[in-house]
Amino acid sequence: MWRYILRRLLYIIPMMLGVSVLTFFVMKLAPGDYLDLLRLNPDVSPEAIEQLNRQFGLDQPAYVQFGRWLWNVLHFNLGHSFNYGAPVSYLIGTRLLNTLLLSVASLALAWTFSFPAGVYAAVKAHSTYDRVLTFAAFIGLSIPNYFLALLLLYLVVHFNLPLPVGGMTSSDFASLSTWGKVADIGRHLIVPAVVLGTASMASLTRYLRSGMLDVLGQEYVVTARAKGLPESRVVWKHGVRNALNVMITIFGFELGSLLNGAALTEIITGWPGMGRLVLEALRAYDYYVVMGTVLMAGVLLVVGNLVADILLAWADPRVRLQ
Amino acid sequence: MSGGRAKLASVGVAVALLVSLLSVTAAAAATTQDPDVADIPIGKRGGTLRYSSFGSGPKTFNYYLAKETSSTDVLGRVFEGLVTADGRTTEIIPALAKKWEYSEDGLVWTFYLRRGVQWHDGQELTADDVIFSYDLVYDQNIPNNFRFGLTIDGKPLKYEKVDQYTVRFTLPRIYAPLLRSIGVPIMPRHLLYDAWKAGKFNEMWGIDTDPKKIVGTGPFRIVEYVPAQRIVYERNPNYWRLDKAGTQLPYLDRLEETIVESQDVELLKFRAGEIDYLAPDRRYVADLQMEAASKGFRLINGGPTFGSEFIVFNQNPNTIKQPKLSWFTNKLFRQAVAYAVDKESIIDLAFAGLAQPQWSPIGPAAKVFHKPDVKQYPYDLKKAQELLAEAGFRRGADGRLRDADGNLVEFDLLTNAGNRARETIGSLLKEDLTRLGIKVNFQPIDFNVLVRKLTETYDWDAIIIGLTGGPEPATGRNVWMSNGGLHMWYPGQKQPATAWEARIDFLFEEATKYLDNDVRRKYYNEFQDLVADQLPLIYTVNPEAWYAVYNYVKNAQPTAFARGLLYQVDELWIDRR
Repeated sequence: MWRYILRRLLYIIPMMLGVSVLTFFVMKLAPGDYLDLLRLNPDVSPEAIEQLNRQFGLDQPAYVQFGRWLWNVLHFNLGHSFNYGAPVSYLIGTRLLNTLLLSVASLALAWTFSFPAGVYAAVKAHSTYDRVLTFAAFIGLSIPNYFLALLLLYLVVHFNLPLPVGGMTSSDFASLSTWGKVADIGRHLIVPAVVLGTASMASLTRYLRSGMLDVLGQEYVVTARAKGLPESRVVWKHGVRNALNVMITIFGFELGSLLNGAALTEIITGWPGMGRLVLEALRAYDYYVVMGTVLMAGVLLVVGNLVADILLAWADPRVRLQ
Repeated sequence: MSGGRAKLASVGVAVALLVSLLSVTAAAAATTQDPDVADIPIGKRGGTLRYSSFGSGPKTFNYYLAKETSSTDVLGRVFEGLVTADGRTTEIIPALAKKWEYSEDGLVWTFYLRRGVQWHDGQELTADDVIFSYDLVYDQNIPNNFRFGLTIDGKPLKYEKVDQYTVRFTLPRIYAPLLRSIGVPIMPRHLLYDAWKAGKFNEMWGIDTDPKKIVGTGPFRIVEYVPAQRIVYERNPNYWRLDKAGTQLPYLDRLEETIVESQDVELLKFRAGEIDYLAPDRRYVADLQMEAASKGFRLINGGPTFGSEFIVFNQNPNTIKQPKLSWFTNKLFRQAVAYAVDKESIIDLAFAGLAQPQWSPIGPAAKVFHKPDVKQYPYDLKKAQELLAEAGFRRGADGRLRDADGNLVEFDLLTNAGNRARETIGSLLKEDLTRLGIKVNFQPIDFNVLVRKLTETYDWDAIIIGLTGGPEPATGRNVWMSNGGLHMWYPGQKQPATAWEARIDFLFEEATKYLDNDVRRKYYNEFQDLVADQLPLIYTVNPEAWYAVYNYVKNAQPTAFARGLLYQVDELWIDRR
């Protein structure tokens, strides 16, 4: 098993190389670069633009730029942002924990609700409850996140709810006690976590329901019922236990996307996460910021899937890692 | 650019000195010996101003590397130059220099610094700091935007220290825009000189620096920066301005700037009372107007902005083939198109009614040199048709327009996708030109592609685009001089292609050679008439800037020129109850 894990971890290297080559050259293929906005500014002299062009290495062929970047990455240096002039690692550092916090909160919210809801919907399949839930899930799936975020903020303002309109901390955050800080972030977390939570809640409930339905249709469940086992034991011991596989696989995927951020939700709710950073970098052709975040997200995706596989092997004796 | 740096003072230095002698406070007298006395209604000390900045926040704390307003708007509170532009009148007024004078031939300029101005860390500002700052400006390794405006015919200014509080500049020739360009932010030599000497200036004061280490002379200093969330500023207790009662400015103790990336959310924050002041999208102004009285805020029209939106036809003979070249270089053709621009509809549809038609290349915001009575082209398709007929164009039985050689008139019109105003202008123009029998292929494309076409490949027919501007026409030389890189219709000419372009070159050069604005105005008037007749750029409208301010914010006078009210941040005060 350890060899298996090691092998999977080693796969990361060629994979990340491929991902970064693709990302870089796709960005390069798009016409334009970071300096285009300055080129149309009458206050900026052509000499200054030429100087920046050289300084950023944008006058070099693409493969030279990529080679330099790769060399730096191998020396644990993610390069500098054109836009901010600061190290990419600093920029990511300021956002990483924020994104993680939001992802974990929305994930927790989604699972706490979806798990019982999905299981119950499968058990009571085609009942009124199931139909209502299905209906609600489809609504949840079809409402765009940014719209829901705006709607929630509008309700906060309209009904004068004691919640902040966006942001992650209050302006007096630095002077609060530790518990005060936790409460303050918690208050700010509610809207974005609910927006992202409900979005994944909808799909998650559907996945869990169908996973559970599959299991409940199996012959061993029929056998269990025929033996006269109480329904709760049938559902929990034979149903849920076997439906875990599906759930773990989904969980692994979600684990992998923890750092991706949700740009639009972050923008509306003012959450200082990675999504905003990446979107801004993409728009500004700030190559190395994009590359840095893609690397991190890629590694996390592989690790997330690995964790899911390990959990799967642990939960299901039929699965063997090799 | 100058708008970002704008900071206000308003009375003459003589009066300032007199009043300060009459009513100095002990604290102020101990430090600033040459205070400026603000001619404003007297307010109360204390309080916090909360506002939002739209975008993703500052990109650097190093003013010399700042490339856009999200950084300069922040640093403009912290750093100051010798002079600044009055946010209300756009006039140049004293800042760190209390006064200046120039020699009879206009070549030698002497600036006298205020004595006892303190850096935020308590050191005194002297002529050495000023000299150091111009060393930075002219350092070829520092890609700053100030050098461009301080280079005259390719030559730098000479600058020298006369004494502790006096600096002298010597110019290669008379240069009228000098005062517009000379207010570069003065940086503290005692903190940055060693780094500069070691060739590390460009690494100093990046966004990852502890903001408390950023030391300027401005009314506020940054005490907290939380990326993508907020910037908190604290009052500079030793600032060099007083009110008429002798109270040291600024009145406010703190500024809290929230970084918001959505205009809808900015609006919600304003309505929830989380921010005291807002620059709303024009679409919201009418709604806000209705609730203003009951909610206790007011809406202020800051006037037309310097930004322009125009249509330009490509006249570059190297990239445009016949017959298009003959149409686009034909003045009558361009004038006919100008008559087909429906400015009223543009104002209503794209700017919610809050814009003004623009006819002259120096827009109404540039009060000093704007010429209101240039040739105008009010929306009139009939007139357009007549002009086209005069130029030899004929409409066939199929309704399509053909030129004298029988070629169907058809061209591509581009703009950058996502800009609602330009997309609206394009759709309206396409519709009107279709009625004249012209086939227009209107296509919004990616901004970066558009820039490449404009500045590198030159392969386009017509484009709708805009440029920023300022109160000084000379800063537009990159656009108007025939060798300029932004001379969009035919950039980088070795020799002016036409007589009128040669004339514009001459006018633009001459206008900088006189210090008297009345003399300069003659040149700029002729320039404006010439452009309004030739129409290399067909101007559309100037949007107005609107602001919403809660009534408890006193002394607030936001203007489009100063991009809001932060230029006067030391004069604002909060009157709760």
